[in-house]
Amino acid sequence: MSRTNIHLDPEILLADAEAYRGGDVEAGERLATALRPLLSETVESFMGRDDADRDDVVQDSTMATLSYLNGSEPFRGNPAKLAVTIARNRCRDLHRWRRIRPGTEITGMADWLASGDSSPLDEILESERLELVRRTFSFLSESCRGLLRDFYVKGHSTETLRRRLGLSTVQGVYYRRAVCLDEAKTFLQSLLHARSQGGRVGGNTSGSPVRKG
Amino acid sequence: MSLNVGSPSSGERNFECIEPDLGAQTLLIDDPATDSELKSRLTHHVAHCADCRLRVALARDMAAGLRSGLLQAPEDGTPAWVRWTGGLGGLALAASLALVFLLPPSPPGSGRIQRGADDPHVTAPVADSVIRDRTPVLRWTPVDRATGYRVSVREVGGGFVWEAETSTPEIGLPAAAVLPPSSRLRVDVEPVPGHLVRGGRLQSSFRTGSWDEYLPFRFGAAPRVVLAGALAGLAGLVVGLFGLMRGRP
Repeated sequence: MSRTNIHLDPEILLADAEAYRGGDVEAGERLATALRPLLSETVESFMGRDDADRDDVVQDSTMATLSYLNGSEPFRGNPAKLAVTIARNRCRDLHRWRRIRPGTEITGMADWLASGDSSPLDEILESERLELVRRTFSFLSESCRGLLRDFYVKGHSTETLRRRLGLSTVQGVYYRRAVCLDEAKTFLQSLLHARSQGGRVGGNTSGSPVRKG
Repeated sequence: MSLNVGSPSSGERNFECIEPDLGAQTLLIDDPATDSELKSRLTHHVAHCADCRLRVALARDMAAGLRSGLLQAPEDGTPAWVRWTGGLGGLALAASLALVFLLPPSPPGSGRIQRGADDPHVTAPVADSVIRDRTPVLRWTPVDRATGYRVSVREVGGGFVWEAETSTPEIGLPAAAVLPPSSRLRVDVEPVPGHLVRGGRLQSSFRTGSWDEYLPFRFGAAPRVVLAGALAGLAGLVVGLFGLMRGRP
């Protein structure tokens, strides 16, 4: 993985971000101008110099970065790192999407796409989504599934869950839920990645996920 | 500071959180107790962060799936049979350990099959046993027509000797006759008159010992069925504990 030689002073970027948040449009333009070369380099390294969508992804990433910096609270991190992370995520998303839905010709589908009703495509996406969630859920350990069930279905208070789990603080309950969902998220991303590669996940020939614990 | 801008390696194909400190709190977005200011910040964050958007969507889908019954969770993190096995195993182990110490130790050869009644013999302390009590009660099977018994306890290879007479088939050593520690002792019981038993006396021997000697003896002399119960209980307890450990998130 390459590292950039472009150096942007976080202090200056933060000062412009704060001014932009205060309504200074020129500060926003300075930010966009400063970040664009870094974002171009990032996107190029993912997609290549000749990719037709390269400029769109750079522009989207720039706008998303400015939008994030324009939030209700001041941003306290490094705006350059924020911009690069946003761009990398967009590249990953686009890359995966292209693998799953390569080159769909939509010109002849204009009327159908314009309809506000639930389309066959929507239904396919919904069923795929449910299947992915089901597979991800079955991958989790029994304890994680039980914890999520207690959290979302049984409606136990966090204090009750804390006692059941033998934890000293309720923060521990939230932490365990976050750990379980992060495990699920990581597995889901590997599922999505395998799907975009046309492959399987879990290392067995049936393609069934290997259950944790 | 230099930034990674290159294409991801195979281990880096997952989304990254754009502001991890705030991203760690994203699941609070659906918590009714979260204050509106934090909820607003989280909403803004999730709208821009693919990683957190995926996490929140997954949490919401799983919650909806669980509520609708589409996703099935075990009734408890630990299967019922594991909990039962662990509980019963623990009880069996505790009961067996109690029996090891409550039941009298089996004398050597007690499992053998024989015809007719036992010859008179010393019943306590059991022959070749190890005891912790330094003033034990001595017992023997009553001898028909005996009018009394002369009893002695002698240290083998040592100077301790205690003698007494009694008309009943048992006698306790007095506090003044404390047995020497870690010693081998011989018991002689002579019924009166002496010709009532073969050899004129009942004989036995035992040892006073430390815990190191006493515990192995008690386990070794416990009835086989009790030891089998202890082993089965231990196995059940291990299975139960293993199940509980697996059940922890």
